[in-house]
Amino acid sequence: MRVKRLTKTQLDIIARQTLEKTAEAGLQNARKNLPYIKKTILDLTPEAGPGVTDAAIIVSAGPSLHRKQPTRAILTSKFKGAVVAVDGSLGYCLRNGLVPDYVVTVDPHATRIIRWFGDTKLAHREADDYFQRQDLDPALNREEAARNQELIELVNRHGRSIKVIISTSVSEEIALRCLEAGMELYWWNPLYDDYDKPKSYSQQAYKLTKAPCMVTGGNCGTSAWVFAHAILHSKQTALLGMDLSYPPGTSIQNTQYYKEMVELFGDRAEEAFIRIYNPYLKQTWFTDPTYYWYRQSLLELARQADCSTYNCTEGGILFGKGIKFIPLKDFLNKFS
Amino acid sequence: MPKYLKGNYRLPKKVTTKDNKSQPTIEQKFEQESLRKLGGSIAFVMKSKTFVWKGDEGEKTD
Repeated sequence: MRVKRLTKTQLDIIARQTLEKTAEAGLQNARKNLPYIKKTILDLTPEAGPGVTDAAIIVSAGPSLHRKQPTRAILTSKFKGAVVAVDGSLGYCLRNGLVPDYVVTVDPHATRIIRWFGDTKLAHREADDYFQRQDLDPALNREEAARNQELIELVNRHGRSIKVIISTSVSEEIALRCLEAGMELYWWNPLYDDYDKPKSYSQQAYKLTKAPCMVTGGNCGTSAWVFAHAILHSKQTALLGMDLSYPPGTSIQNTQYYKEMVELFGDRAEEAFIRIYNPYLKQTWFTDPTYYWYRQSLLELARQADCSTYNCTEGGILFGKGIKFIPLKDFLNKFS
Repeated sequence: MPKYLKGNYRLPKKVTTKDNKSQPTIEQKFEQESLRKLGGSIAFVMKSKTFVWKGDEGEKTD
């Protein structure tokens, strides 16, 4: 058995499954977040209107972020556009002296997402080996307590300079942690499903919170790209760390869905990953079905948006119509 | 062996086999069941190029 690229039907199954997995949880979190919802992403519009932020850099948390170390190039380039980090790359950015203008968070997971902001309750959590295995922020793989404390201090030090683009779907703990760190919160709902259906999750979330619903692409990185496009009106958007895949030679143990893949495919799990040859890199990277769904979704969105998207990840599998695959230095030379 | 099992009579009704082209194979079925367990971080849908939906009163932004 070797899983090939997925068909539209198969991608739809993942989309439906994601709705089932996240919508109810997201809506429950939205109810708990109500007391903290004071401003929405639409309140950002005056300061981030057309022409103000013509270019943006999205710092996603794929493995190339740590392989290519792009922060120095950004800091020395005097890039004037917005820097939008995803929650998973916040620690990397702060450790390397790059304070993002915005950080986006969306995943409703009850205990993991808080770690990207420094978890003040880590000592009381149940054991979870995810952070020892994950590749989004390898700094957290070891000495978890010490690195967590370092992150708490970094977020507390820089929080006042960072606006959180916070989805109503996230755990209430994220809102409290961000407020504790002095961050400004700008809320939004994920566009869960068809808003024209009266009982849709999108309608329910909107009626409950009065926050606008934004397209997500299924993950935080794509949500950040949508935010840059639709709210900041960025016309030139660079993507960093948007691998949506794993470099050749990565142990499957270090992939995002390792446990699920082993549960499903047993000792043949390795065969269930999808191999994609990247002609720009002349390398074959591999991805899991969910990341492949993210890839196809972002390609579809990029084709529909009236902005230019530059994949400056210098790794991964995100290439195709609507995406310009170029080195970061070329983007910075052009738009700094 | 098959030559010994060849029928030496005609069936009263013509037997037609179903076209299996549109039926998923066992492997495809297994893959589809598997995909049901691999959801993403958050739900995603896109409708008529609307990136942000601002509610019933209706402004839609691109």
